[in-house]
Amino acid sequence: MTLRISTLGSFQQVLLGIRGNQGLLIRAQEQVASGRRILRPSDDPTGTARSLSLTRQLADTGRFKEAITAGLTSTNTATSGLEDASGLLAEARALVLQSMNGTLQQEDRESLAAEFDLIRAQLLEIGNVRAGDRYLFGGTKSGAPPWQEVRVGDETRVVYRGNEEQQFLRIGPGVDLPVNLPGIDIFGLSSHSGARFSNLTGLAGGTTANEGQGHADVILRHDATLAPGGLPGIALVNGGAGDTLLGDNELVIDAAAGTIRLGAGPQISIPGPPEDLSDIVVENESGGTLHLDLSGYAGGSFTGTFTGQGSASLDGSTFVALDFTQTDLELRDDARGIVLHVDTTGVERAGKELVTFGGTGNVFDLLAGLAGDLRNEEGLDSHELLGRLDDRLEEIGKNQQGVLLGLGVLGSRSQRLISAEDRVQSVELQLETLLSNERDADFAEVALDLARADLTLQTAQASGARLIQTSLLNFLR
Amino acid sequence: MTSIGYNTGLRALLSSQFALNTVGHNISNANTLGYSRQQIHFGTSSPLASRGVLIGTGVNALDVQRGVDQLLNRRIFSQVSVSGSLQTQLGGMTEIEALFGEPEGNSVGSMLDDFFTSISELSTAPEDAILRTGAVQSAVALTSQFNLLDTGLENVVQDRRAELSTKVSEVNDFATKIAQLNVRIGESLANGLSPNDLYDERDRALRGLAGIVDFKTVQGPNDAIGVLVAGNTLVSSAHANRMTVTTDNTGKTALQVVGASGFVPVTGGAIGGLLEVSRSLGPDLRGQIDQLARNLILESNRVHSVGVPAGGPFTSLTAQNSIKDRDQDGSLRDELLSNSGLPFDISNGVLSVNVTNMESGDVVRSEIAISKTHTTVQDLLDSVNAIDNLSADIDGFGRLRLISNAGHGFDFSSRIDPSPDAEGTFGGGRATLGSGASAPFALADGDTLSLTVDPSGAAVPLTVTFATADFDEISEATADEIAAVINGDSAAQAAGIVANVVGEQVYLQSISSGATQSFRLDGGTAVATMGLGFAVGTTTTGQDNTVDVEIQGLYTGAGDEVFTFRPNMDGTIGTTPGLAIDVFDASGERISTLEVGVGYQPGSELEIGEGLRVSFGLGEISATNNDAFELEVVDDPDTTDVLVALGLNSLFVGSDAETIGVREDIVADPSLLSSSKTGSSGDSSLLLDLLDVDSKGIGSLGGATIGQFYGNIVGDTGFEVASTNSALQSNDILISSLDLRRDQVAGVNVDEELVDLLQYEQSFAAAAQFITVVNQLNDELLSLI
Repeated sequence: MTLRISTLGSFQQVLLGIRGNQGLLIRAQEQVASGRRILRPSDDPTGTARSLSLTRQLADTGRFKEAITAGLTSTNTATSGLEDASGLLAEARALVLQSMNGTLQQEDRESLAAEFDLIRAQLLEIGNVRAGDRYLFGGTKSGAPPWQEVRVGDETRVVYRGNEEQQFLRIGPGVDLPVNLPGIDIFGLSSHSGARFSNLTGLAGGTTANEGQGHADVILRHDATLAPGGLPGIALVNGGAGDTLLGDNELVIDAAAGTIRLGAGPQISIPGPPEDLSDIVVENESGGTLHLDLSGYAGGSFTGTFTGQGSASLDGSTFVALDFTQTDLELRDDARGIVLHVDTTGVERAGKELVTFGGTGNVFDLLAGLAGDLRNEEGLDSHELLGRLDDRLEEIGKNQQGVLLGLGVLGSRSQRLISAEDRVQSVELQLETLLSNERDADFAEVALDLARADLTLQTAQASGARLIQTSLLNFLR
Repeated sequence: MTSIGYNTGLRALLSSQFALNTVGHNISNANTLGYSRQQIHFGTSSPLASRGVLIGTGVNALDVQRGVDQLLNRRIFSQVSVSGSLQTQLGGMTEIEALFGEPEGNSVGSMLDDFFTSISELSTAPEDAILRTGAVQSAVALTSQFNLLDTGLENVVQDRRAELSTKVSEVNDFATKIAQLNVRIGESLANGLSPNDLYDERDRALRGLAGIVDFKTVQGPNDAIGVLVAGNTLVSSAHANRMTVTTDNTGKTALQVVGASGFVPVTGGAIGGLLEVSRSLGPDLRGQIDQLARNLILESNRVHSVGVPAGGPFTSLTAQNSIKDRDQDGSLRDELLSNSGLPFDISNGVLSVNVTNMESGDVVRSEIAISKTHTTVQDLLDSVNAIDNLSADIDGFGRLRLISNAGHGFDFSSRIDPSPDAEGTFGGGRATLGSGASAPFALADGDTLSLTVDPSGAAVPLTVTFATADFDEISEATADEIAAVINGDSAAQAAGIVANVVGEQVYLQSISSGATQSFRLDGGTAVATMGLGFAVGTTTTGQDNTVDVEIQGLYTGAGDEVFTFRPNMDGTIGTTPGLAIDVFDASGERISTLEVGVGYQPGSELEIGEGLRVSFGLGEISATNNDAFELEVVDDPDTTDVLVALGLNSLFVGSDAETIGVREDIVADPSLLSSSKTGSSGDSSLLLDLLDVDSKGIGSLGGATIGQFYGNIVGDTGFEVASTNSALQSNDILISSLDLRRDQVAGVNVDEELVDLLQYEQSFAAAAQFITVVNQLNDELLSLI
């Protein structure tokens, strides 16, 4: 029996063929129009799962890239800030050297002080530099300026309100890179030395360690002068009230040479009349002064010991009497948390001894101190001033070291970030290629599919039309 | 003879007419689906015997038969059922597939990426308010996408349920129709008629039914057909039973046939497909999405709950999840915490609570032990209330509420107590004497310690006596028990002597600080046991300089740890040559030695290791007096998940895709998003931990990451759609080939019918011609008359 084909069946077959081919054509067209091989998960379930996983990985690398960019931005900002700071410190160093020139007049010093003020303000700006909303040099306390000015007693000081913690950036899978430099490491004095004394009064560190922040002044007060017996017609002026000598000082009057000398201080000639001899000042080697009334001096050599009695204070209110044998005298300023142990055996004059605590001061206070020294509000003599400037110069050197160290750290971080960026970019490219292979249509292939589907559809339509047209009816007349 | 001729001719004419009619019927129904071609069968009519000759009397139309293969029909019905099921499944799955919005639309996947990307962005600048708002908003977008997906899936399931009732009523219509046709066919057969068109109509009804539900047929008497759906009689000859939609005992949709007990487990036809989608595919997928959301909530909240918001520690915090009165006794407090209706499990472990004095910055860490099998809600409340400056209560909604006293804040972070030597047992200002031995101490009832307080001044004698009643087991006295006895002694209180505990050692201390404070250990029977023999007769004095211990950094080690710091000799910080501080871990291993002798500037920092740094202030420390302090560091402050279960400081609320959301107060005030473990504005350590949620394998997701698990769900759905689609296509091809085979028997070919038409037309003409001839013969005869 030959195959019977029902008319309805053959029509439906034609329809089925056309529909199927139209489906293929539409699918190829979708791929061409969207440029995607997978338009819905069912187009290629395993391909979809793979492309989703690649998308996740791409998002990851995108995050790493953003973090690296953010890191580079803040590193660059910090670097340029520190480069400026380094320049400013070099300038400050030059200015200190300039101001140590003994021929400067007070007005020259005033103008130099103004320059130090300016440098300090500029450095403070760098110390509080921001990238976006974050202060770069504040550790993780980056929401407020890390260096803040506070009034301590009658002076303005800058204190560090940040912390020493690290901010981390995730720049790779499980790779966290610290991104910030705590300002205290750069602008603070990072040496771990003990307290240093300015060597003005002869006060030195005691045997016990000290505790304190930044700078402190030890006030050595002259309380009274004790004169030796058998003075050849000379007397203290005002009972010694204006003297600054402390401790035992030998006074030698050489009648033959007509000179007078205190301790190892300079010899001065005793002036003769008609000079006013009622207030002759002699200085010891540290600049401690003794006022003598020589109006009654009748001549004759003399050697005797004058003793300057004094007391020391750290907070300006509690004074401890000095006996110049104390090798570990404790001075305290509980309000500021300072405990200082001093050796008083070398003390020779009254005055303010500047004490610098290692590891805790900062460059801003240093510059403010410099300006203050140059304005000479404390009334220092040139000897004291030079001593102080010399100290400050050394500290500026340390600060320069700190800044250079910071620049080095930033430089190596910047290099790590750049190499990480390279790596992330190559990974990203790789992932994008893989994703494209998985998800994107191969245009050559799709175009071929499209042409093929088009051709088959046309063939199906043509043959269908032929099939539909052939009927016995056409031939029955 | 003549009459025979007429009759023969008439029969031929009528037969041809019948045949033509049948051809016409076939042609007319050429396009009727399910129509079976009818064929007329002829037979010769009974011959007449005339004069010994049997004369043929022509033709008779015997019957009209339809070409049909019942076996093939049954195959077709069952394949139609399969296709019907696949078709509806495909419809549902395609809808679900579109709901995911993958690979490139707005989807949970892309929102997950967005969320973690915005967290990463925030981690690069945690102080940035705009990035912070962005992170919270992307969390909100992620949770709404979860909600949307869940609602979409729920709608798909609900739509299938609604469609199910429509389909079931169609089943009932078909069943009624089949029963009616059974009756009519029976009647026709009784009348000796062959009801071909009724058979066709019944087959069409059966095929229609097959598209909706799969069934088996049974042949009944009088050609009636019974229909059985999964063993339940839907149609029995003349009677149709109603099918109804109901729910089974698991709350899922199920079908029942009236009069039958039990449910009808339909698997084929549209109903089978609808049940598959609404009973398993949809709910399974929802279950997986729920699992994804649940693990996202759990893992994110585990990280977030131990963080500190940008604004610093909390002053009050309300749990998100309510405790339920499971035993229905009207009280919440007696419920076991692990069985109090909280959405997440609680395990045995320890919860660390830090209470910070906001003014001084001092942190007091307390630990709350949680037992899965023992800790009740009341136990938790008691433990919290036992912590100084912190109180807990349950609000009207059954939510735990924590409040700190004024000037204090609390958090659950792993941050370090910056000043761990609060009691001053390490070079503090108080006169301090530590026991040389560690607990347990083998004391006996009546053992004593005798002291003289301020021996060079007021010289107050003091004796503390230890009694059996003070201890659980006096021969194994703990340091805490001994301290409690000393601190409870009124004479000691009056004399200003207290006891503190570091590790397992007891420290006797003056209550005040300063060089004027002193006491002398005179002796007593407990001296030897406690390892205090070295100090008998010596006077211990306080000092004006206190060794301020400050810790900085974040602990990066693995596992909780207790570090103990002990000096190697007696000396003054920064002064005594060779003075060092040894750091021991909990196992007694020395992990570090810190040089604090001459050359060390008091107050400057030293590295301990594991991310920690320490500085010591100026003062004297004594190895002889056993000076020591402990630094507790925690790796995971909440090993119990109690914070997650209660929803304390959570980021996400809810427990599945339907309920997931972002905590409302965080949405309102993004600064509440915890970004750090320390509260510092630039500390993004917690955000980095949160990023780990994206990249770590999660056990309850089969070790997959959140992203991988999601990718698998999408891939599986795609696979389901693709495989259903290809199954449907191959089944449709099978049906069309079966239809083709059926058509070979039962189909109408118009050309064929045209040939038949010509054939019968010519027969008709011939028969007419025959009658004409017979008539002429008659006329011839009549003309003879």
